[in-house]
Amino acid sequence: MTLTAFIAGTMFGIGALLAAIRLVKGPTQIDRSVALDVLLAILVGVIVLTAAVSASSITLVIAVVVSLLGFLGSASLAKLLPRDRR
Amino acid sequence: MTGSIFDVSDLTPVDWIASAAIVFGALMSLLAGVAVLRFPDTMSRIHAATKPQVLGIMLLMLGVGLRLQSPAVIGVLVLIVVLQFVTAPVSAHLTVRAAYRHSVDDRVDDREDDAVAIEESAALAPRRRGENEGEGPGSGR
Repeated sequence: MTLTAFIAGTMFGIGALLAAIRLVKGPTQIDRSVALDVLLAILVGVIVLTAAVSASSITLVIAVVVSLLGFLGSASLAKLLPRDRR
Repeated sequence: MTGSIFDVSDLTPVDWIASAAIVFGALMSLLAGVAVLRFPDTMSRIHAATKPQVLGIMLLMLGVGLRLQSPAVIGVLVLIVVLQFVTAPVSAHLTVRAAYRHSVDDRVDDREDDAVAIEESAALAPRRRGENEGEGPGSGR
């Protein structure tokens, strides 16, 4: 399970890094919102991976809260983003 | 656990399946990161970004459920998966709608475009009153 955590953690890290680059670069605000969504999904994945490695279910409650926060964030950003571009 | 991290001799077959599910779920996150960075426009980035939210989370939950195997944990995992299945399409739809409206703002003639015509028929009604006589897609509102 340690090897699994190593491989999966590396994948999560590279994915989060690439999404963060898009978050900084992203030409439109919607691109940034999408990158934030990906980052939150990766965060849920890391929390769940923590639960799998340590074989404890305490952190799974945080994953519920973070996944709901991701929905709230992207829905409200899509609703409230200004219409001017760039 | 005194050997190196490549020592996999203590894994049961269920642990192998759980590890494979977790690695594939993490692979979805990696692919989403690559695609969000590399894809050319907003629509395709949104398309790629929804992969870890549904398939990745589902595979990870499968892995954790196989690893922990207690009813309370499986209840929480099913709750997370159901919440993602309900909320991910809704938030993706809202984001795509906002992106679509932004991308067609400067289109010269968008009367053929129902999604935009419904949104903007009220705002542009004075200019188009002589053309479609109130029978546009948005006249029912």
